[in-house]
Amino acid sequence: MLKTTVVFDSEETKRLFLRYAIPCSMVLIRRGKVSEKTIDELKSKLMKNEKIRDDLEKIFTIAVRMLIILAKKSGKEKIDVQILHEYFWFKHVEAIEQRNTVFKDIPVQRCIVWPGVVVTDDGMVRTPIGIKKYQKDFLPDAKQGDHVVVHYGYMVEKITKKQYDKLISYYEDGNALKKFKCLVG
Amino acid sequence: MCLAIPAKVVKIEKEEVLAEVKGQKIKASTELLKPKLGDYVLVYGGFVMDIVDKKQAKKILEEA
Repeated sequence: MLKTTVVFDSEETKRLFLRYAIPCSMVLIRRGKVSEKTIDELKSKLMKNEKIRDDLEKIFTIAVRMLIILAKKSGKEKIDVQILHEYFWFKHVEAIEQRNTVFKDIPVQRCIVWPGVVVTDDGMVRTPIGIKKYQKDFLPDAKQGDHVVVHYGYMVEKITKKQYDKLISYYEDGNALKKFKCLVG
Repeated sequence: MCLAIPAKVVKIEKEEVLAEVKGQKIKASTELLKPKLGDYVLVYGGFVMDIVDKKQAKKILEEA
């Protein structure tokens, strides 16, 4: 059985995890899994660069457990940035696909972590699902031409052109674009 | 993480369970957690990730 211990290799990894996880935490609040106050506190600590609590598994149970599984499969004791990327960029899509086979009616487009290019300094990003404005809270210095990933209305992190190309080809090869009825921009 | 599937365990096998939701049966590994027959579980990425009560499972189902 899982025990809540330090599962992330560093504060930096924990912070990056929160940038991916906080945007869709509204769902957890709605379900009564976690209070709005708890999420607000986490976000505030993230923005102020203060220490993040270690028991994130209590809040983001499923995501953290999936990361633990992936770390274990890679022979790693702790979750690092590479494991975060493996999850949010790839395994996450597979899980969405699985859920989509059971519940076809949920709008999964925004759940997917999309690669994109910033088109204006005020937050417009072009992704495979079109051009849309994203919150810059986690990436205040994102500029036109930057490659980024977005999740649930937020810019999450900057990526390299190489990572961007890899992600775009992953979505195209995996037919995710077609499956989720997305427009290729 | 909000994308997990709530389902009721209908069969227990060696390292996995068969769980049912909306008339569909899904397989899930019990590498992390070992639920009992009749338990409501959250399945994600092919794994049983959490065991929840019936009320919670219903709430998640109603959302979908």
